[in-house]
Amino acid sequence: MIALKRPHLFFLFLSLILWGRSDVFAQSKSTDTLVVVTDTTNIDALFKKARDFSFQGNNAQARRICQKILEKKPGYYDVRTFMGRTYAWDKRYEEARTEFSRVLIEKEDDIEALGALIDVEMWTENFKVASDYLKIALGYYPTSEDLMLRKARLQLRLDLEESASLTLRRILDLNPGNKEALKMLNSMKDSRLSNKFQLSFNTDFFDKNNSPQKLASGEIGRSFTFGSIAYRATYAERFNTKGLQSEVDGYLRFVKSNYFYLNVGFSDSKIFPEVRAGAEIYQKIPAGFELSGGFRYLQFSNPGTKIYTASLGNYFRNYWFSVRVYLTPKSTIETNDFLKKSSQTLILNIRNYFGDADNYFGIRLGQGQSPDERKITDAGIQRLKSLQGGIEYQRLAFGRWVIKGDLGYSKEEVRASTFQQRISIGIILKTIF
Amino acid sequence: MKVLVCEDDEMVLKMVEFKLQKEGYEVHLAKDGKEALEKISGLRPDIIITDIMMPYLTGLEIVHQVRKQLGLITPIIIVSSIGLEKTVLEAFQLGADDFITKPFSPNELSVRVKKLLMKSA
Repeated sequence: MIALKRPHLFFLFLSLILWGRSDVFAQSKSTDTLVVVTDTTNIDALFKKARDFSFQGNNAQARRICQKILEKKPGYYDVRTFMGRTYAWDKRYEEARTEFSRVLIEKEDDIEALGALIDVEMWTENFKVASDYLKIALGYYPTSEDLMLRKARLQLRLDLEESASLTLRRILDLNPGNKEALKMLNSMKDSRLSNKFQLSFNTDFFDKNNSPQKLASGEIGRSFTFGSIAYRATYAERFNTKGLQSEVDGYLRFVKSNYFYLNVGFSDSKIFPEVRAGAEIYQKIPAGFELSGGFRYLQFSNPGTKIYTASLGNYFRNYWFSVRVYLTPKSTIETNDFLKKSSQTLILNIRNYFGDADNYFGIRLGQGQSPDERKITDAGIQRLKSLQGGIEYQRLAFGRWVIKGDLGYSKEEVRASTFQQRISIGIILKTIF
Repeated sequence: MKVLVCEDDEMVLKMVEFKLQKEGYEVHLAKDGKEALEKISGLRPDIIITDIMMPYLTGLEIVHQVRKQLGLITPIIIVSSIGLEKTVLEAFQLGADDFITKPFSPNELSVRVKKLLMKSA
């Protein structure tokens, strides 16, 4: 009989125990897998399971589940893209590319797969390829903040700080609440392009014997860590009177999904409100929509007029849709119905972007007048009927200068059953530096 | 080895270009049938990959031109969408050598290119 030394006895004992339990371990492992993938009835729940596994660090298991889903539903692009992402996280970039390519070969504008493929090329330092893919992707989605952020990151990797700043500023023009863009901009030591300057000129012509009305404004602003602030001076010539108004606008960001707009202005001219103010909160909501609500205050005489406003907007591919409403309650109207006692302004805006966020064509339709256009000469005029329409065209002119033209038409009831027609022509020049 | 890729989908074009360049091929691109024929005549690529549906000239017309008009024996791979099997058969009758269906894996395309080039060498 062979005498076994203590360590050997220990290992023999351990082996016997494990051998007795090994089938249980194997069973529980395989049972675990079986339980997960045999139930393919609820594909979305399975996809969530896959994401959970990946989040726990088990990308291999996540991929097995994705494969099962794709056997049942080969066209589930999000699943294939996610599977590709798990390969990328495991640094298996070639397999990742294969999965993203398979999606894009079938659906060339799949934004998730586009973003994922661009990420892989950036991580593997194929910057030229990443740049080519980004150009194509932004062609499909010129106002995509995610794609523009990737563009800015790529530009920073290529030491193109000024270009990156420009890209980030364009993102903030589209969405002043984009925290990631602001964070990147503030982390750049030089070339932040934190400042903006704008000049605008507008002339309104009337069909009656009213002299044209002119409006000109200059605006200068700057971005800070908490948001942006701008000062605007507006000069107007109306009813043989000239006047000047000063305003300060602020966009303040606190959390990722919302930001605040604040405005205050003063004038000692009777053609402007003595005091104007405004506040609005913008909130991102699901499906890419942005909802806002707030108010404007215009004081031509004491007491002033409060105007409530709300808007709903969305960027879809290379379009932007927005609808805004202004409600002005009137104390002179005797009713408890808020809508019945309020004058209502409704404005619909649609823009078509081509190439990038600087270049677009837009149309505007509405009823009522907007207090944000700085054309309100008397808050009381809002009670009367008005229909308006307009077109706008903006493009990058030269360097960092952007030029915008605006042509508008409105038919306004100036007193009961008396209408005037107004044609408005405007031009805006703006830049960042 | 010169590869000519004819495809009007820019994204697909870029992905295939990237894959084949990594494999060491000299990749030339054509976004429509007219450009494809010009490049075939000018470059004399070693292999042609062409989509069936393209502006100006279809992939079938390109196969026909290459075989009948230019008299070339350059290997041709047809890229087709699912559901165009009859068109693929027609392409084979005109002289195409292989086909691949969308969606395809760039790896699979690369293997087919390699195989055809070895065969024609």
